[in-house]
Amino acid sequence: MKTLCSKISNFIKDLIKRNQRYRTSELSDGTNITRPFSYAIVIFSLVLIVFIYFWNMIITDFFNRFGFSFFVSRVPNFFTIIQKMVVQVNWSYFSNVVSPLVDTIQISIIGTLVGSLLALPVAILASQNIMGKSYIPGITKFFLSIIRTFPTLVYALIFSFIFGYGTFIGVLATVIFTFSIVTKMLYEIIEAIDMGAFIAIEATGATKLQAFRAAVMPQIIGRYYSIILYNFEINLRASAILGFVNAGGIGIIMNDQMALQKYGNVAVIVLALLIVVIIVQNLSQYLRRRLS
Amino acid sequence: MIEFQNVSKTYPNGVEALKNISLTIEPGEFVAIIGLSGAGKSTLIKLVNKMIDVTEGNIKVNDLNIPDLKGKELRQYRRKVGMVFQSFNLINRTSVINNVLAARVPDMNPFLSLFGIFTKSDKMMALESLHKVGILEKAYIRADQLSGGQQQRVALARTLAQNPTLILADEPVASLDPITANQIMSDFERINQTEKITILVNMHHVDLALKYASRVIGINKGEIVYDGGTDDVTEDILKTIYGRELTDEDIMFKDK
Repeated sequence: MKTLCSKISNFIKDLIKRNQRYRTSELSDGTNITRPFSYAIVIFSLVLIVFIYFWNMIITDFFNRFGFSFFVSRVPNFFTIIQKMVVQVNWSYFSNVVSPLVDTIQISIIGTLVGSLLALPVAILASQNIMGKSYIPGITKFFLSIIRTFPTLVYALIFSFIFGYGTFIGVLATVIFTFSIVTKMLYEIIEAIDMGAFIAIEATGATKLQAFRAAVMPQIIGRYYSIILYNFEINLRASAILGFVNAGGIGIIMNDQMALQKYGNVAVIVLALLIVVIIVQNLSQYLRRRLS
Repeated sequence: MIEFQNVSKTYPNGVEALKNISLTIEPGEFVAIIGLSGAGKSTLIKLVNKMIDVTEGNIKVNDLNIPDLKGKELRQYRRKVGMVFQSFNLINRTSVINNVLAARVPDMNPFLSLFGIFTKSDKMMALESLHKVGILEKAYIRADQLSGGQQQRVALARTLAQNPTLILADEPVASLDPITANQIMSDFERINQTEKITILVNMHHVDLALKYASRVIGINKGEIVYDGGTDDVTEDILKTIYGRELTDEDIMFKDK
């Protein structure tokens, strides 16, 4: 055991010495310069080891137990459902889709706007460069990371326990989810801004809030709009899942029709949602390009 | 009147930037502080509007004890003290007039300022300030599209829009070319003479300081080694300030 330990420690010492020689360059007049050790290679190796370990645990384990042929034989089942959706497509169901689809869009718009508006003041509180020497940013960031831990679905589930079901639950869940994402994206932008202008306006006798409004808002406003639009897209897509816990919108009928195995109706729902998402995506892409 | 009373400043990393400085500046003076990089010029300027705190001693501006100011008192005092920076510190991504209007924000109705709504008189004052530094025609152009000299003029106009009684300038021409630097310095000179505003400016370039200022304060390693009129500065005095012969780098116009 002792010899093994000393062998390993000798090996590591040798490795460090070799690495140091590798990092050192000798100039023509004999001067040496050593590049500082970079931990990037260590971190990269660790990530690789963890990746291989988990790959073995999950992927290799699955094939070991069920065999590769099982995996291959089951893949076509996915296409069977798609095929059913295409063959049995029931266009007359569209009239039932319109109202939940409008609900979904309403939930997303209200949820995104309210969540993003609430996010701005909290993002300021979370920004170390604006708040200066204070514990507030640290505490705010801590609470934000707690809020971010739960996905939209969990919030919707919790609210449905408290308030029952309906679009209001969907709006609440969307507000909280949007709030948690937008604050994070926003304070990262605020902490990366050029502070010169802020300092200059503070030096004119302005309060922090006034200096933020005058000097920081113009720097971040375009990206703020762009974050809001991006979150609107995310929320539209998430609405399909929200319905699974009866939080209103198109997800409710999608859940019902799937349970009833009416794939023809599901096809119409998916198509309607897809078209809305594509329209919103293109619109927001266009707007974001204009804004930046 | 600005009074430094035995002021010392030591930074948290142990650097002694100023050692027991005492000096008096009368209203309406145009004072240039010269010295090498790291001599303590910037520290001296920043102490006046309390961007940094003194370690020892006291600074009095018109009977106000600057080290004691905080909160609302400090902001009210800063209203009367303009600050110009080496890197201009303009708000990019917005128009020149909005940059100047930003200096009006502290005096405004907080609700209107939150929505960025400015009154007619604020706008007129901003335009007048831009006119005083001769770049009125750039008012509605984005600030980041201007040249360095023009940006520094916007910064100067922003300071004028505050209606200050004192302007502090921290190396205002160090990142400009010689011609533009001369123009900016003559802007300062004109403001000093027509508006009767006290000006305290940090300079690295001796020739510009001697050409425009009425009084020169030489600093070397945190101590005042010369304080007097511009005309009395001799080669020997410059040698004590810089601790060596002047090099080309200390003079903007090489032919002088």
